[in-house]
Amino acid sequence: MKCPNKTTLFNYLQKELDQKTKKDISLHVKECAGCQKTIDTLVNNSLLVKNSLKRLEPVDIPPTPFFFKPSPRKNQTTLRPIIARIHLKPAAAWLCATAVCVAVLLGITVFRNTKSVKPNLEEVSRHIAAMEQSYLADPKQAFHQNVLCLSVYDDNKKQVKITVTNSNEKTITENVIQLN
Amino acid sequence: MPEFETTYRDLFPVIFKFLYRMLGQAQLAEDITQESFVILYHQLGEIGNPRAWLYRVASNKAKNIIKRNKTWHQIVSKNNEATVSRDMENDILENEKIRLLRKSIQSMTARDQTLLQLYMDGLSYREMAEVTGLRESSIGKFLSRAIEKCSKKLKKEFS
Repeated sequence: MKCPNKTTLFNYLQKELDQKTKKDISLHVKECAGCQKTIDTLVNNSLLVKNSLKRLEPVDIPPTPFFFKPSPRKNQTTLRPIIARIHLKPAAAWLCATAVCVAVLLGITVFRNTKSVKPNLEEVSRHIAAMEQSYLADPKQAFHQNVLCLSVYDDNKKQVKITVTNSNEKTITENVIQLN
Repeated sequence: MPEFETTYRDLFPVIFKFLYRMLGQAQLAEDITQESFVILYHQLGEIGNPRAWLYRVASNKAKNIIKRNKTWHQIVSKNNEATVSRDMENDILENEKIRLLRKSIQSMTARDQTLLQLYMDGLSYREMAEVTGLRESSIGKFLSRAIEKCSKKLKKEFS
């Protein structure tokens, strides 16, 4: 048998080899002075390290304290533990954070635009003018010169109610217009 | 939970000694041992080998403390001060030797230090692999090299 390397001899000393290899090495070592020397060195080094580490141990070991059983953990209902378990590489984490920020900004913009829909004022003005014209064109009503128009938008700004009143604030006519 | 109680009673002194060798301070070692057992208590059903698991948790916690704590030398010196009352001269010499010993071991990589500590406690290669995350087939190589490096350092320091 060829001389085994240092690691194999070390594993042999630690009894971490399979039965066959162990037997082969055991037979070899009995007849090989070189391997016996290596084994001596390995044993001496191991003893030196073990004895040195032994000196770092405490002089007195405290008695094992009573173990206070902690209260059982509550069911995890929040997202926090789930988020904590997500492990991303820094680049991926930054990418995700950026994507979330962009999505939030986009959402805010769309929401704002939806809320700030304004009725088409030109369309409303056109309707008011037409109503005034038809009212003034009526010979019976011609003497009423002081005409006032009120317009009321509905909550969704989809329709407008136009009311024509005279100077006495009496409603003369009203019309509901659906806006495009 | 009788299984946990047996584990606690058997392994508390073992983990404490392991941590004390790494940190050099009894109170700190005891606190981390307790913390590790609290975590074990919650996860006992999910863990195959509590001994290897405890070593892994304890060594990770100790490594984090050493890495984070810039007052490592303060920890060691504080510990040394506590033992200086018996026989002054002997204690001073002994403390100096222990300081040099710690310094030699501390100058090694975290992986080598952990392997040496586990070797000291007689863990099998399989358990060492579980604790360190290394392959079982590589343990012999890394451990024998760590022992060789450590013994060289010690011979140099104490010759």
